[in-house]
Amino acid sequence: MADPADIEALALLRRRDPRGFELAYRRHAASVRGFLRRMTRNDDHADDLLQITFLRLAERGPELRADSDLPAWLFTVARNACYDQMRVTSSSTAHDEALEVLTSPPPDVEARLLLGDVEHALSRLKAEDREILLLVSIEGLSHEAVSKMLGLQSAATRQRLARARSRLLAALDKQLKEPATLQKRTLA
Amino acid sequence: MNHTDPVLTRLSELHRVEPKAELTARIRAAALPKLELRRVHPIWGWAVVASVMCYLLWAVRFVAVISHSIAS
Repeated sequence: MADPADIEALALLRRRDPRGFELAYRRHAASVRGFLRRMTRNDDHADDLLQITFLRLAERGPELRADSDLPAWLFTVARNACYDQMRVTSSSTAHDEALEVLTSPPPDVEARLLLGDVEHALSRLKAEDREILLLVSIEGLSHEAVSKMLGLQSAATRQRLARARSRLLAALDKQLKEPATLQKRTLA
Repeated sequence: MNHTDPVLTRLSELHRVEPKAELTARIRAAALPKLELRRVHPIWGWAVVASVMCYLLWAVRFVAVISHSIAS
């Protein structure tokens, strides 16, 4: 079920009312930028892609159906723009460390999660793992919308999510065992 | 989604990264003109009407010439 504010934003956009754009921007720009920043690992690229995403909304917004899923549409545009840019810059592979598929991580890792640790571990994952973890944790984005966005069946999405999750936990586990990180955590 | 999952809960806390005011102003300035309908200059409307009229006149004349040649 779509959020009433998104329905209102779409209705206004369909009438080419700038308040629809403002509303959509206020509601979603920060989360789209968060997604793009973590996908690209580059603030400037994230800003450029955010601009592309919202300019596309201004162009196509009036043609969207009244029952469209606005956040799903925005994240789909952002994701496509992101992959287009990655293809150009090949930045996706620059830091993609070959984190092997992990065997089950120690159970205490989940309990010890700090936000900074998660951010750092996430940045070490492959783009497709980062992508699914970020998308499924976005408030209001349904599992069906994520599956549709990724072009996957629901079961395949769950499977990919489970793999990405275990890779993230393993990256966290590895990170927590590094002496530098431990020292930083102790100081914090 | 599964918000009882501590990993996804942590990830959902990461999400919002507010764009800088300067970027927001730039996006707004570029986006809002795109929302306005582009008005077509009235001369193009008249040009379409004139070309349709020319075609119809030519078609009428053509049919008249053909029927005249058949009759004679």
